[in-house]
Amino acid sequence: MKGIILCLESDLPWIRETFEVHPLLLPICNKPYLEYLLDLFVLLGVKSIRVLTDEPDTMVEDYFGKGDRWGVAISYSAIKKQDSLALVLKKNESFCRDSDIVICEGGDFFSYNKSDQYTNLLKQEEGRAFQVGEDEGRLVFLPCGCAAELPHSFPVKVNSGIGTVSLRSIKEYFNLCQSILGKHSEKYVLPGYNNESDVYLGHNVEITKTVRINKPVMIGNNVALKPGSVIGPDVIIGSNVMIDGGTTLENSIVHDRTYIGRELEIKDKIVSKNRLIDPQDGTTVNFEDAFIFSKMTSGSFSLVLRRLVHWLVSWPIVLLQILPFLLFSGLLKAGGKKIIKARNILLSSEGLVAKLPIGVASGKNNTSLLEKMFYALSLDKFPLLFAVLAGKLSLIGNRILEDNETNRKLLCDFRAYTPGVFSYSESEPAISEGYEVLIAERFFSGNTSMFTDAKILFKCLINRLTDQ
Amino acid sequence: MKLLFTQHEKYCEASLSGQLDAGNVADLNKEFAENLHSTALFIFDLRKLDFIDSSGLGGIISCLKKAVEKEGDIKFVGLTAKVKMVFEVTKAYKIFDIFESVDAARASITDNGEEK
Repeated sequence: MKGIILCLESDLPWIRETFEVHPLLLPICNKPYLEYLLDLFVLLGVKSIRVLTDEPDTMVEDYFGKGDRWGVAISYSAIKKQDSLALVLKKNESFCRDSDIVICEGGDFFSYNKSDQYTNLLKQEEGRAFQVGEDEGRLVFLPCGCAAELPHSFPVKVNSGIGTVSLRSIKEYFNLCQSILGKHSEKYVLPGYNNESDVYLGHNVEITKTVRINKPVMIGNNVALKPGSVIGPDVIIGSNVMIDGGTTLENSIVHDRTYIGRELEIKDKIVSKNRLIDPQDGTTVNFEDAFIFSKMTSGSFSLVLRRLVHWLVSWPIVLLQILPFLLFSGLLKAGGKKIIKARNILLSSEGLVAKLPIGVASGKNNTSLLEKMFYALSLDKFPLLFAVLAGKLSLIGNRILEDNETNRKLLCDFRAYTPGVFSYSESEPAISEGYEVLIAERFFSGNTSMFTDAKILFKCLINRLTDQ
Repeated sequence: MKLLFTQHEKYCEASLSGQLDAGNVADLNKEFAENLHSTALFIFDLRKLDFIDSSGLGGIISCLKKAVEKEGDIKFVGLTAKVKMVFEVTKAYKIFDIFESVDAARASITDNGEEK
């Protein structure tokens, strides 16, 4: 079976107006709306999905890619908002050919249970087309060959196990999120670690001793809860959020990349960056006072400064290494050793790739004295320094990942990936490989500073010299 | 922002309309200080105040402090939805006396202009 997801921004205009995101990326319990649809389609047995929208957004495609994470193939296309269902199917004829089709239309949220079976829904109707839900938000099931003549409405199947929940207003959105968190969390695949019922925690969550958490709560990744804050009950916090000291949050939603200031009291609200919203009536207040609410930035100024410092520090290393590199590499090449190999390297979590020269001599299994000295002097890093000078790499960063399917999947969950010539996990001899490296790299990304960078560089160079 | 201070016998009514922010809070402080010579009891009618930021809130708290120092008080009337949200989030509602109507605020002040 194949699936089509029709999502018109014009059906859900309040989402873009309020949160400045495409409806498909609307966070529902820290998971984009489209991801719930994908989960449902997987339960229906769909292998290939086409996402159609009237306002294509590259951020949707960047996030979901080709669907590898869900084991489906996702493709994207645009439609006009006035296109009828029949016209949509005609325009996507090649996709729909020779297959049963399920179409998600209208922009409602579909409730389901991840433990239930839905693969036989079409078979139960013995080849007849039907829909689940009303015309405003429905799943239309079309057996193969049915696309030719389409009525406006189809017989409604009851007792399918799939329900519809309206998402037409911010109030409905808020109630849906709280309902999933409070009552229906076990029905869906929700992000975060869930050792304790009704508590979902992402990674790199800083919870100081005096923070009180009242469940149910859901907290995303890279969240800092400062001393004295009280979180919950019924609170959903997105990723890259800081809740400053003494602030209380109750029955509220905090979206990604939001800073909430000290000694505030937030109840029955949605906070999205610098915007405070009352979901009951839609009243919105934009705060210009950054110490109350603001958008968490990636520290763009400190990032630029850090890159500049790396660039400056790279020059003396280049000057110190150039002669030894020429000498050793010449001798090794003369001995028939290959020391540099160009490889495709991932430069960011968005999939930016560059071909860079990577030193082959890794320090392991080096047999000759020449190779050992080449490695001890970190001369295998020398070619990469030019990438630092060109602004493509950091001097200190995450361990460089080669461009392959496995690493790309890894980076879906590691948005802060910043590759560097020298890495944190490299500076710690106790960290060998596998999960230890993954955890160490994430820790570094969340705790980086100029001082840490200097320590890492020093340790990497010394470790090499002392052969650790 | 429009400011209108109206002196009554023993108290002063101030009507604020528009937005109270960093740009005009000094005007509020100045006019308040002038009226403080006559009385330390005020009613701030905020029914037409559309927006207030932290500077505006700080200005109001400053006015309250000055009134209290002179053994007076400020009663607040008619918060709009946005102003109410700001007051709730910053916990300002805990330190202000807020009334739904001007009459209710007046009623909280006795005939001889002293607080009940």
